[in-house]
Amino acid sequence: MSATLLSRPDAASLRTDAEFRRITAELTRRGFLGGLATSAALVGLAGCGTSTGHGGAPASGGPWSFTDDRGTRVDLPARPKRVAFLTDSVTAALWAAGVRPVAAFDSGQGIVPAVGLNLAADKSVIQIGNKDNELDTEALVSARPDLLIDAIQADGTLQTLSGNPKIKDLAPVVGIDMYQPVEHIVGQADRLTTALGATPADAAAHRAYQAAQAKLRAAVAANPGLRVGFVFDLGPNGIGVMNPATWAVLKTVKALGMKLVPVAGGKDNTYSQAVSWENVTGIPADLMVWAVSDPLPTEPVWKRVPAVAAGQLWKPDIRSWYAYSWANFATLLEGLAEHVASAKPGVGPKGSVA
Amino acid sequence: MNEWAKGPDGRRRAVRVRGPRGGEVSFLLDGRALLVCGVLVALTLATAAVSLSTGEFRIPLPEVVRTLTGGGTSADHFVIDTLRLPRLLTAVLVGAALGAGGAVFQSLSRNPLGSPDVVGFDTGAATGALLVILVAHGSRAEIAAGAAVGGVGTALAVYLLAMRRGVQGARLVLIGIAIAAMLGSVNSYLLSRADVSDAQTAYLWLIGSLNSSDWPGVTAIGVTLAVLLPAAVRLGRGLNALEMGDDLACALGVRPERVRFAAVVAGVGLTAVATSCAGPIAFIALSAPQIARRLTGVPGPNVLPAALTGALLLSACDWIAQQGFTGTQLPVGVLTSVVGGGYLAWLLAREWRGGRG
Repeated sequence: MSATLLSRPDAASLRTDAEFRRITAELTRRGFLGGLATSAALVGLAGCGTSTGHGGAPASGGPWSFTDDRGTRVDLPARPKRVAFLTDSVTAALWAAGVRPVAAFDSGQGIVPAVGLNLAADKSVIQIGNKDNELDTEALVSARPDLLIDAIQADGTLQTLSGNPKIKDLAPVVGIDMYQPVEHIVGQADRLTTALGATPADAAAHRAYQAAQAKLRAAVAANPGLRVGFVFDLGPNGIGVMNPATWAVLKTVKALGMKLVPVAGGKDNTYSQAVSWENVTGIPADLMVWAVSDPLPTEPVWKRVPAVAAGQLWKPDIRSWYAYSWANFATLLEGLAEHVASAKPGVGPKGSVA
Repeated sequence: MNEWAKGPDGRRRAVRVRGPRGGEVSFLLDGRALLVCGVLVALTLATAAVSLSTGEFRIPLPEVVRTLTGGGTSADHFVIDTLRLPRLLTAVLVGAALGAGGAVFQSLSRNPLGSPDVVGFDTGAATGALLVILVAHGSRAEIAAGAAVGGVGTALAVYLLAMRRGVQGARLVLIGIAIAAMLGSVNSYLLSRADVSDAQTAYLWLIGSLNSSDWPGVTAIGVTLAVLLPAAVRLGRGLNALEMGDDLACALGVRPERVRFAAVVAGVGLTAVATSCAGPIAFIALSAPQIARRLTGVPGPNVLPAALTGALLLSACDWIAQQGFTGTQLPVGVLTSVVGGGYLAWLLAREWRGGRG
């Protein structure tokens, strides 16, 4: 049955989120791509603006409350001590920030190990994802959590809770919106870390992040015509152009003035627009950023993409897409600033994505 | 006052029970059938005990009992009350409904391969569910309703189309197959045009799974069984007579039209609610009545033993599907075919070898 499902070779039918998720998941299985399969996995890099912390919790003792990105307020008689991370992206944000959970979800895409948590070896943290990439509810119960932390998806729903509504009876849920600019996500992770009584692990890197941000803003201002495309591998069918209106990193760099390859609107393109190999050379980008997948494509046509042929291509270390930390995003923004500064505008074709 | 009379084979007894208002009910009691039912109930209870106590979160049996009677920790309550008990009850009740529905249809169609699909039920239910999943993008409750409406609607349409001065068994089967084939193409069309994630949801539904069992579902299937199972058991005698042909049945005082209509209503009702709870779980409706018939050795539809066999089969299969494969959980529909089919094949092979097939 699934064979019928999976054999849809025509590029026209490729342009759906579901297809995108399936393909990324499939690629992951093949070991190419670390982690797009869960919709929130990519999220982002650095940005601008101010972090919007409003009200953490008292240092210790007494009742605890936290208002999350949905505006939902969680009230508990005491500060939670047993926290469970329900998605890869939540783990990537909060482990990096210094929160130590009793249970964490690892879908096996390499995101969780990339931030330094090895669930196979670390027996103090219970793995609550099973082989099918589904939540193992009973394993979660056995961790006796008193707070669940889930990712908020692009459509505003909770990623794990929406498929497992029963677990809301287990413990209150805090959501982190993974489709906000990067500094919002890291800021929220820090705020939650403080509220949970831990010290944000890389608060010191915040300054480096702000410096990287300033550097990228200046580089973009000095090279105003440069068009940048963030793309990733979709296997034999083509590549995906990430939607600037969805992804955290793209929201951040756009706010810094970067001109991004636009993606046609519509439900099918919420996360990305699929471009088949025959149309890849028409992507209107002067600088290509190879995002969240590894390695670079081997298709000969890739070399004929104007930006690639001109050497205006950057593939950051795959791990730098995963950890939601100031340090990580500072590195990513710095790299972007360097490549923006050295790239020539007008290299790529005119027009829009086919 | 109750009267007992031993049957000619020494095994069966005719029982006449006098009701409180002077009415009389008489029926045949078969010792072996009774024993088989007792064993099936005991095995189902054992499966239930194992299902409730095993899993990633271990709860020893005494704790299970304590939790069920109101004690236990809050984690125990969450696991038992929210996760395991609704799932177990859904498995038992859906299995019973499918077994009983299958028994009714096999007897009705006088065909050991008969299933509610002879009146287009499964295909119609799938069409209803697929329309809700793929076109209307409905919730779980809406999918269940869509399946029930699709199945019952199709069964009704087939029944009415087959009607010509009464419904003949053969005409019913032929029209049912024709309509099912047409709806099958509709289903394939819907799936081929579907978005991949929707299609995956649809395929999961089509395999049948108890993953999303909940209390409202348990209530729905419980109420249906409470009403329709006794009705189906009572129809058993009439159906038994119908298996010998309409004329002979008439001569025995059975009204074929009425029995057949009532049987279709009961069979479709049982299958519809079971299907809307757990999807079209394969093979229970086919294998449970056959296994029950061979276990009891009694002719006729064996509605009650088939229901008990279905309950045991589905709850045991679901436990294996959940626990038997480390790190992964199979949809129960995958297991029912393997376990039910394997057991049925073994039974048949044994009969053939014994020269009785």
